[in-house]
Amino acid sequence: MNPFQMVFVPLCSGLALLLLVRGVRYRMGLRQTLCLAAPWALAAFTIAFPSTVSVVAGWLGIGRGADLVFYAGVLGCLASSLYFYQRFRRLESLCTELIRREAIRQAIRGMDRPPRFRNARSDAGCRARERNQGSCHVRAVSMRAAQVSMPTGLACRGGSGGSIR
Amino acid sequence: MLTIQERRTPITSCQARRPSLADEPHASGAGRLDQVWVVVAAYNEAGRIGGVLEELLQEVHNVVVVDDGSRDDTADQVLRYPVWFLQHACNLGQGAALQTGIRFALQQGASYVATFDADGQHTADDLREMLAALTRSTADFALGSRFLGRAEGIPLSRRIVLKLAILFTRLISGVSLSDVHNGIRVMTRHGAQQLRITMNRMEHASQFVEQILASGLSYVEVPVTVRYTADSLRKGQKTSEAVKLAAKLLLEKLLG
Repeated sequence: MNPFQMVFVPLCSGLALLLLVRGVRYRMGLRQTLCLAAPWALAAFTIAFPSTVSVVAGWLGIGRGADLVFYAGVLGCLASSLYFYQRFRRLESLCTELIRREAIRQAIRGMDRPPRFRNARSDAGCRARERNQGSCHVRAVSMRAAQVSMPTGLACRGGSGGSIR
Repeated sequence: MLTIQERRTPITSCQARRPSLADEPHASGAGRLDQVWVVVAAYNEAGRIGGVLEELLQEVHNVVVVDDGSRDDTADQVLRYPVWFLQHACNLGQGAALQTGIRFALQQGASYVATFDADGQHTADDLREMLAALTRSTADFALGSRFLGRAEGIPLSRRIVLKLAILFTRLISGVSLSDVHNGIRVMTRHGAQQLRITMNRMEHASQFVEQILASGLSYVEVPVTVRYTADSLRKGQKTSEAVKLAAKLLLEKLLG
């Protein structure tokens, strides 16, 4: 056994065993446990017995064992990329749905008078407060929106009541 | 002559005269359309949203602005107008914002839902033409087309990218449209209920077309005017992003 094998065979075997034990302890399911532990066990085996990879490569019609490892690595990377992309898309759609529901729940109505009819002084005051406290329009209206129940009760800013249509 | 391209339920032309307010079955007493809910997705549009809303409120009664997590004072600008305001907690993308607005409009009982860009590229007048086209035909979607209408000030590079997008959509979806990435659309309630936009960012425009095709619903293409300004070009999609968008669409197609 060369120094590389002396370091990496125990390391990979240990990791495979650790993942196997964790899978059993946390009841992760046979498929998931094997998916996590098998690559490390396989790595330990191929490092310990490099000639077997060449034999398998010969069976598959691939010239060298190193080529087989390379191809397997590329395919493994692609498969895991697709898997994680799908996981990411699912998570993204969950986040989107959550944010969407919150946005609809807190829907508010803008002012019923166009800006040209409004008191310019109150606008200026709001802007000044904004600089110190953040957006005062949004805060004020959000507080009103929070007082009514959804989905049908939507707060209405301005003087013409809360009718939707 | 106003030409409308329709699929599935073909009509070759519409009445040339613009429908008057008195003829309009969906107009309220003030002449504004009250059965149409216009959804505007806005992201960092504080400088332009006011003008867009003023123009829209001349034509329609119900406007829903979805602030897609803007970092400027878009919210303050929007809340000055009598429109519905929804706010995403963070920036998700135009597709997500439109789906949020469409769902909200449907919850409020909208008979027709329209989408409209927040950057001032569209003219609100076109909504009336599109609704007229929709009601005259049996279609569920009226899609605006700048290439059937007018694209004022469009740069050559943008024209090429848009044409490539049309070709790409034709290749992967088999749908033949004269303009795919146009933000102005009007749909019936039934049509809007069939939509499930899951692609959050700009890819939603292609997904929109694909879903129309998949649902078996009919559509008409209506000539519209799109105005390009230096400001809208600066904010609009970069040409380089088109490649990323195409890659995402292909990946989504691959993974189903």
